[in-house]
Amino acid sequence: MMETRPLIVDRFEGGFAVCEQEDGSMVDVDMKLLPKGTKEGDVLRVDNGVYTIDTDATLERTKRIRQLMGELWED
Amino acid sequence: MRRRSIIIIVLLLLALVTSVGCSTGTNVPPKVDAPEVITPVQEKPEVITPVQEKPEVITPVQEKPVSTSPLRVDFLDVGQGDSILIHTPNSSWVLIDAGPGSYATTVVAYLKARGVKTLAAIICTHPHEDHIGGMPAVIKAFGVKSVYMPKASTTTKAFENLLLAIKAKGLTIKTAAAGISIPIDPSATMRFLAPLHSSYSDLNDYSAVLKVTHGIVSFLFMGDASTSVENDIVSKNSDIKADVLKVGHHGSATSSGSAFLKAVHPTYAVIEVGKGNSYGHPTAAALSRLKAAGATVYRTDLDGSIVFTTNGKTLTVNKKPSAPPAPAVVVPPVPVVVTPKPQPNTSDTVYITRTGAKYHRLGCRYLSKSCIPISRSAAIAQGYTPCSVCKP
Repeated sequence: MMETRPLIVDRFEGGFAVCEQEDGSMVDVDMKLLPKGTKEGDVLRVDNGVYTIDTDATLERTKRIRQLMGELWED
Repeated sequence: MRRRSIIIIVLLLLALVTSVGCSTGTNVPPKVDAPEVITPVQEKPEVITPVQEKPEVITPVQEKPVSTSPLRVDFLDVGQGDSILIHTPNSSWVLIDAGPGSYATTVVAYLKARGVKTLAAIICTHPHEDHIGGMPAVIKAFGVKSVYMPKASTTTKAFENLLLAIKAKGLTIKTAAAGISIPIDPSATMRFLAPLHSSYSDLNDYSAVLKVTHGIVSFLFMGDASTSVENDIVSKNSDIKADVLKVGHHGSATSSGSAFLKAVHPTYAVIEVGKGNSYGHPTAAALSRLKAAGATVYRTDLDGSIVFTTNGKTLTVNKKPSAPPAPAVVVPPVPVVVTPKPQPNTSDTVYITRTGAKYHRLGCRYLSKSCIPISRSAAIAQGYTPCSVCKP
């Protein structure tokens, strides 16, 4: 088993999912390798070339950031 | 008798006074008639001061700092991403997007070279890394008065870092939405034309679209809005004509629709795009539609940073701005940080297997059991190393 590092889908461009790595750098992943229905903001795990969506981590980050937005938005 | 002599004296005095009055009176008429008679001087009422013999010379000098200072728009070359710096006639600075994180140093250096100390407003068009990645560094390096963003959410660290930088500075966020104006400079109106709805399926479509007008010259900044948003903007606005269009989404095929371009009718179109990017930007489709619309196209991948200056009547373009030194020159001490993300040889496809830890060229003997295509950069990112046999 290889060590897996999370990737976050930033956006989709020309057949690639542009993903953010843990160090903040960006990497292009062929969209064909991703599970159907992968969305912007999904946290991905990779195990031996197989990508899965980490729904718990996605939900956790979504909640955390929504809360921060609530603190900062004027309306 | 005595009374009569007094009357005579009085009459004599009166005669004297009137004669004196008459003698001075010859000087008086010019004063009274002045406005009509001295026609050439009439144009400038202040010209009463006799020393100012040439009012024409004084006029331009007086007006410059007041209202005719130009509006300047810099499209920064930030590789595959957007960043636009606006300097308004009353000397306010506005920044639309700050490029990807890998160009943060470039953007900060460029702004410093332009003399920016405080940004009256920053606009994050939408929360994609190629637009907001450099913004936390900008917020840290400069004073910021107001922040405009569409109410759109994502989970990336880039977005979280942006929010944390805003929070650390004690700032709050104003919603960028159609109809909202940025009240910074009365001679440069700034109005958002989008987003028009509160929910979209694609983050690009949340793009804060801004129209900036100075005199009769206007700019339209599209963010990454797609054709459906463009059509929505056309249907909800009577006049979206603009002299300069910041082309939507780096010239992707899903933006810059013909109907929209016809309505905007831009003289100039600027595409912010990275050299050798992996996404095919700008697309031939978008370029041909821009050409058909009669626009002169400038591209940051070919032209570098592009600067427009307008006095409200005429527009000048400078592809190689002399005022700020090229950002690449400013930055050399840390070239590593500036390395653009899309590197040609990291985006090509290599192949991995279900169980191995190596990546391979297609046809390598180790690919006999399984053969999974993956981009080289993704394989490296996930810890795969190159096969020593096929040397991919």
